[in-house]
Amino acid sequence: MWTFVIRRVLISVPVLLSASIVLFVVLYILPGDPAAFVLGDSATPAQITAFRHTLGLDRPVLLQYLFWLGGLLRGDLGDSLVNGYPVARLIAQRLPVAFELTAGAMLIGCGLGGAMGLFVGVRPHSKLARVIDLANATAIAMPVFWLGLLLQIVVAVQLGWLPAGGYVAFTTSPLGCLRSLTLPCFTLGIGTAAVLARFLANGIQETIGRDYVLAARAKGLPPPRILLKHVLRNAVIPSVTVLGIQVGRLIGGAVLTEVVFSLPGLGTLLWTALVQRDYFVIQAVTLLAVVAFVLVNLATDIAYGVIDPRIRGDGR
Amino acid sequence: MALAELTRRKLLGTGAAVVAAGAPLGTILRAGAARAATTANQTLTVGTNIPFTTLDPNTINTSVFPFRNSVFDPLIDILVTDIAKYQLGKIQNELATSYTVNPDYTEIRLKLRAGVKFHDGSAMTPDAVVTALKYATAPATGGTMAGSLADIASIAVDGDEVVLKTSAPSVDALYRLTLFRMQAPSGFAHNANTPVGTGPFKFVEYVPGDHVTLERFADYWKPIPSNIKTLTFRFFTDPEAMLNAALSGELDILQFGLLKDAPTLTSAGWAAYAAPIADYQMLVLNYSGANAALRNVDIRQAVARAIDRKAIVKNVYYDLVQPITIPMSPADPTYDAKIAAEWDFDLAAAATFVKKSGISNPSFQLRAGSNDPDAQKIAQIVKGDLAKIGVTVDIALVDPTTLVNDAIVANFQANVYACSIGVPEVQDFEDCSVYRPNKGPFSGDKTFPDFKQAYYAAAAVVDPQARIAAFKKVFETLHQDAWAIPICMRGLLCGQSRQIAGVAYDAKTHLVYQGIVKS
Repeated sequence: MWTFVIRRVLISVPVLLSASIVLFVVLYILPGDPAAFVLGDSATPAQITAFRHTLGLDRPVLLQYLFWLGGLLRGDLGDSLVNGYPVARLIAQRLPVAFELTAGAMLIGCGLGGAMGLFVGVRPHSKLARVIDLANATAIAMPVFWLGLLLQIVVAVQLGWLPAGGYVAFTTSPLGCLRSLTLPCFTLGIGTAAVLARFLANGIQETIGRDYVLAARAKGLPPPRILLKHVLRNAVIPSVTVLGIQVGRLIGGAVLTEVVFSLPGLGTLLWTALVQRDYFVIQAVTLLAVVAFVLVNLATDIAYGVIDPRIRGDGR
Repeated sequence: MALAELTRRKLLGTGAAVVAAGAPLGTILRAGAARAATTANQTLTVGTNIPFTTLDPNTINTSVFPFRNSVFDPLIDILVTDIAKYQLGKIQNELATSYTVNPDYTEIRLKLRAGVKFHDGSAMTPDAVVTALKYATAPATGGTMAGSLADIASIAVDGDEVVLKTSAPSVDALYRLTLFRMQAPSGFAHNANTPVGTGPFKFVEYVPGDHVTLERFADYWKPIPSNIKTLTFRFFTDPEAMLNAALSGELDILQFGLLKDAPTLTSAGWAAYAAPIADYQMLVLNYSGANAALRNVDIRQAVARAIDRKAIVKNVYYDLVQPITIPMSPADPTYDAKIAAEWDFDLAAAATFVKKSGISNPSFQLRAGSNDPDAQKIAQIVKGDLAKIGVTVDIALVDPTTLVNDAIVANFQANVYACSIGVPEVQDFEDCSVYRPNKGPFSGDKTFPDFKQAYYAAAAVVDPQARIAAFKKVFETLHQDAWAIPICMRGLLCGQSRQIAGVAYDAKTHLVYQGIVKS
């Protein structure tokens, strides 16, 4: 098992390095000069040149990348071009909100998706299963920002049940935190729930007719035990893989969700940085998202190996 | 329960249980909302679509204006008395009790108010004012304020007065001084996050990207005609989200939204209006001289007359701003209706100018910001208008950074561009960036020799009436050359719910919250 884990970790290193190169190059070739943008239209060419030098933008591109990478390894993500704050500090301020949002969305995704998938998998021909299938297809097709705005209008504006946006820290008011995160988490998590439900239902339907499940029934095992031990353990493998991929969707969707619900997380930080051409913030937040995605997929791979020992390839 | 035993009855039973469990949740949610409502009357919540980037009052930008007016006081101030017309009132005393300017406009003397306290409890002394002014005028610490007060050469205490001397005669210096906000020298080190001022509200909390909370300053130096105890600025990155928050009752004031949402707000009982955008109050069409057709003055004159500004104001700005043909607000005394009328929409006159130019099939590229839907719509309308007089426009959408970079080095043919208006009257503190000599994208000896001379001559005139006349002469020059074509004033949506009374705006288009009463 450890060989499997170490192999997976080592594979992640070149993936991260490649991602950092792609990220740096993409931002480098974007049109526009951040120095000119920061200084505004009153700046003279001489002022812009001096500011470019201060930022190190006049160095060769390879040198810029190496300096940036070196800074990353030392934990120095640079300073914001807009307000001069250390980027690491900006990220640290926003990280809890982003974590609460994605964790809440994942909770809704897994809870709701698991329940729906289980029901549809067990009773695929019921009327409710058809309704769930239709709802899931709709949820998968709905863009996050559209669903968010729709929920705002219905739940916040028309019904007045929950706030339309804003964030309350858990330490300030647990209930306020729950109120402020309910709609965003639901908006973000509903797509994951729909995808998970589909994969889980399919997995259950495929597994439930297998010979060993039939044998377990013939042995007179209690149905819950058959479901948990013999059906779900095998049916859940594709769903675990899907969950890993869904994390990428959650990270991307979190940007839009935070913008729509005005949450002070990494998404709005990235959004504002994009609008303001705050390059160092863009680089750092995007790289953080890549690292999170790679780590979650690493965890998924390991979980996959735990659930299905054949995947490990260690001869057991 | 057997796999096949999950019956409809059981499912419905489970559903009922879930609903039953949800009812208390709904009660809790509503109770939370009710609790919020009980304190709502003492809290003014302002939604803004431009999150603050800093709390330093020396950084002058649209985002920070509402905040700096609540936490900091000016020494002297000047208010906008008519928002729509951008009409300015007279200078009024704030932390200063009087001001005098010497006859040659090189010295300003301010007598300071006694008994004023900073939010940290320390007293505002003349020394503190001098220190804060020196901090604001030093390029290393003064942010954009240092540029605005650049012509102040010395600051000193003289008895109970503060004396400022300018490097040259300056009618504008007094008016530029209204931009200054007083902050405690003890707060310089952390003014970007936890500033200390003398204003009606003191700083409590700043959560970047989410909100700033202020509370009423008990030791404020003058009575505040307001029942507001807490002032909260909530930041929104999506204007639609801000609108929904306003409609759901979470906001009392909405600022810097989209003008298209004005009817929605109005139908919900809100007052909605367009407030000028600080520093970018005017939209113009301007040229660099890189295009052969546009180098011909008759073509430029034709374009100036072929733009249907009323259609632009109606379709792009929902009739909430005013069309203009000279770079001044119609409310300003230097506004000359006769000059302005020269560029009224007149396709026949425009066609005559095209014919007079002798250029066949004139064409040029018109740039608009790829992030600016209003500029893009304007470019489309201009294209349609000019096609009627045989001028072909090729629209190019350019990212905002490139637009600015290229404008600086004149690497463009024509732009739809936002800039500040001029205020070349006696309360002149804001020259117009489009025509600003030796600064900005559209100036320089080569392009505007006449305007540069005329502008400097007008700016040097001290007598108010003569100054107005001099600037009218400048407008004549601008119209003769036609290198920049004003289109309309520009504004962002501001609104206030029906419970709010007393919103006012100051000279830089930002809210002053002192007079607000919430019912």
